[in-house]
Amino acid sequence: MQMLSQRYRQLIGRCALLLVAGMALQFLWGNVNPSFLTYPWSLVLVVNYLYLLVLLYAKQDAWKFVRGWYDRPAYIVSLSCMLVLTLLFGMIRQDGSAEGLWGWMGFTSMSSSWVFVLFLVHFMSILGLKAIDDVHHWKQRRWSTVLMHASIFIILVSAIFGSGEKIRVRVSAMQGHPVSVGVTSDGRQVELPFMLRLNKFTLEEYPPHIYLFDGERLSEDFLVVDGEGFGGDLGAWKVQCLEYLESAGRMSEDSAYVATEHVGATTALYLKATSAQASAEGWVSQGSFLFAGSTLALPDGRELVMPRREVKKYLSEVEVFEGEDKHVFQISVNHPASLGAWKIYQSGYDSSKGRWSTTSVLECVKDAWYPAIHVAMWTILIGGVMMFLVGHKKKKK
Amino acid sequence: MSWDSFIVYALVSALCWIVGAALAFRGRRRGALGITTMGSLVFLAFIVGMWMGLERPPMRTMGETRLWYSFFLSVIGMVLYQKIRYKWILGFSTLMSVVFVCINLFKPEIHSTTLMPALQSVWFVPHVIVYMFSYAMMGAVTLFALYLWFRKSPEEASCKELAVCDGLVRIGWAFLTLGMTMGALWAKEAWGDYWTWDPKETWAFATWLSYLLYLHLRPANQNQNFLFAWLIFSFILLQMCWWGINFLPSAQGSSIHVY
Repeated sequence: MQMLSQRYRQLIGRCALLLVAGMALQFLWGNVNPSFLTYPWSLVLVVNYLYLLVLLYAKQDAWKFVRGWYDRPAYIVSLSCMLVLTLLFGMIRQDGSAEGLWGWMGFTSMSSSWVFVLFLVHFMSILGLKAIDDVHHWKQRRWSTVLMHASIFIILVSAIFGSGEKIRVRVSAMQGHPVSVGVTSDGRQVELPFMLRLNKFTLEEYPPHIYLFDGERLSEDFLVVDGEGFGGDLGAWKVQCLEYLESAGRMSEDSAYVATEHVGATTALYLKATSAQASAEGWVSQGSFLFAGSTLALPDGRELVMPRREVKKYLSEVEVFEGEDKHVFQISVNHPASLGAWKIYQSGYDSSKGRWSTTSVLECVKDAWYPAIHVAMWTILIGGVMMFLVGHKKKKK
Repeated sequence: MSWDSFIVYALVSALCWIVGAALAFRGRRRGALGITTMGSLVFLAFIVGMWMGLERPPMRTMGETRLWYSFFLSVIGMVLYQKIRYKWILGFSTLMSVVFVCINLFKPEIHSTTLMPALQSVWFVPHVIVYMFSYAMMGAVTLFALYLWFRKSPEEASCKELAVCDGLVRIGWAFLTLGMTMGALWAKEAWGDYWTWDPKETWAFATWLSYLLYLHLRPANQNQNFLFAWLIFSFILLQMCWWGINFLPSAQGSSIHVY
């Protein structure tokens, strides 16, 4: 017992040294800048790191200082440190501020602070040694444990050593205009190895929602109006849609909306509201960047209003030119296009123009380590299912 | 089916669960299991009806996730009762299920039928269901730990009782891992990053680490007070991840997991 507490004291001392080292590096160099981790240096470093881990594992009997690097107390202390740091991470606002003690320690941008990165590398190394040990003694281990340790290790290695190679740029593509330059989050321009051209942008919306508005806030209840005849009760009012125009416009001098396919056309509903005491009818529209919106004033001082319709789906049809090759992709949220190590994501559009937007905001992401992480993630899923299936059963010795 | 029908289904389910718990307490196992199953099926029928009525999975809002939590708690309570035969287990799982049913009755938070584009993914349903199952599992093990810790009998928890705790945490942690990994794969497809240290993700990681620590501490640690306290601490972290971050000043305005 005494030996055990001495061992824990040693390990806590090691972590204290790591903390001091992290703070010193933070003080000297500021946040971790992973930009040096690009090919081929990232590959050289990862190969050497893995070789070192295997070497340490192989020599643990001969090299006294390696003994116990991945024993139970070691990973318990390492896990505990990671938990404490993650809790701090969760409780401190991550705004990158340099003010105060947390800012000075880099904890306001925790994922790039030296302390966090050093502890993560420490945790990864213990896990790596454990994973090698698992593979070495796989017959005595649960398969789920072997898979979990190995795949979490692969994810950490890929995420840390691949962090400098990741490129993420935003591209605003205007319909018909080719574009081959993206902008990073810090405003730096990056030339893409391909050219994009937006052929078509389409946006689908949910049916209009009608609310009561008392001058300050919208009612909690609402009506979904999906065509003529749709209606229902809204507070004390019975509301019915007498006319539904999906694409409509109204000139400023007119009071009524008319059907039109003009650019900027908006949705307009002719509603009738009746209560026990009164009734009112008129046009309600969300309006657009071109045509004015409209609300229906009720005799009780409230109004029937149509907020901007919620977006169901938006999709960009994009041509991508890569040298002599031309590819055509349909890109929407959750359905990115793949082009070698690059993926192109649907990110946004000109929201002021809604479905009439001719600009699509795309994000191009290069992630060379994607295959390794992806395989490791699926391996975790397999490990998780296996862990569930074996549940509480103990491995037979 | 609309939310207006919830009160009927909720009352029938809660009644079945309460009667089931009472029968279990009197040692009438078959009757308890039968009537609790009936309650869970009625509740599931409402969830399926809502799914069809909304024309989307009822998993978007906090109120909708509470529906799944109540349902899974009742199912896990039954499985545990069948497995370890403690007469009070159904009572505890019923109490928790009914509390969440009541929250939904008084604060439904289920309104819109819309589903934003980012949520329209094949990962949406498995991610939420797996997480809710895991949360329910961890809820059950927390109740069990509280019982073992504070029960009147002076004896310490037996090896069998601790093994039940370990088994529940192991399965719950496996599901936490599955949910987190599915979320990461989904995030990659939706936004291009597996992990962005969003406040929700940070607290999910802390919860995951905490239960992982329990699993690693357990074989070498026989201090039951410490183990039970750790399970309760982990469950508090889980609550922070589920709904607590909505009230955490450091997370305000910086999370994309807003619902």
